[in-house]
Amino acid sequence: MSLRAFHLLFIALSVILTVFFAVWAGAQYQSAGGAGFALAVVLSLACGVALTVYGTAFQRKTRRL
Amino acid sequence: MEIPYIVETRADTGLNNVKLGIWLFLASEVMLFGALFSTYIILRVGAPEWPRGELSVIFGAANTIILISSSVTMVMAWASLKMHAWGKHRFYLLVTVGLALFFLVNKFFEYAEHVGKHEIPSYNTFFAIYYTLTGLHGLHIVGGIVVMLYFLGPGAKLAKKNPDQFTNRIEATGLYWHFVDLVWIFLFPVLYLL
Repeated sequence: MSLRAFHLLFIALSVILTVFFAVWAGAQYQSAGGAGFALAVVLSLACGVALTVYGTAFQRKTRRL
Repeated sequence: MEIPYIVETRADTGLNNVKLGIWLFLASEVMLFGALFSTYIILRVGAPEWPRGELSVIFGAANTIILISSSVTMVMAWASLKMHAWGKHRFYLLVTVGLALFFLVNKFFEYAEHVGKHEIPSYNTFFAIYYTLTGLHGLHIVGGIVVMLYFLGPGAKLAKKNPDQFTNRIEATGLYWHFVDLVWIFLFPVLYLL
């Protein structure tokens, strides 16, 4: 496996982690409340979207490497 | 006699020496961390009660962001070399080293907080496995820093002598670095969230 392919796999797993973290923070918010957990949900999902956009762009731009 | 397959790939495996070597090494690393993750599961399942919320999620999340960012800069360092942008390669590699050091500083403060509360490995089973897993991971981060500093320093001479071989070595470093980051991607939810 090349570094390019491993990087894409890593980014995909990172996106899954951001979704998992958002779900975890959402559950904490429901049980304990707190603006911090609500903020964590939003930030985590934003990171997930950013990583997805980055991953797609990386795949497209490095196709010839 | 020259050693074959330093740069070109072997027809039967489709790999050159450095890629075969790094993947064999990473396979042994998977077994090492796999054994420790299995230990964690066995300890946790067998324990009558397991401490939760002992670790600072903020520290863990910050280190996760740092390591994901470092994987991006690492791959940029390799891609820059492929595009013959030497200055960019060195910049991205230096940033990767900086992020790795930032991770270690963050980890130091996290350890210091726990040690200050006497939460050392002998405190309970959770902290024993926590220090073992994160300590071993931290040693791998240090190893990565040493390798990257070598390629920023004396190892950079190879880039003039044999640019393709140097690029392959940076790719192998990147594969190692991604593996170390991947271990953290599993460590963070297992230790900090679940």
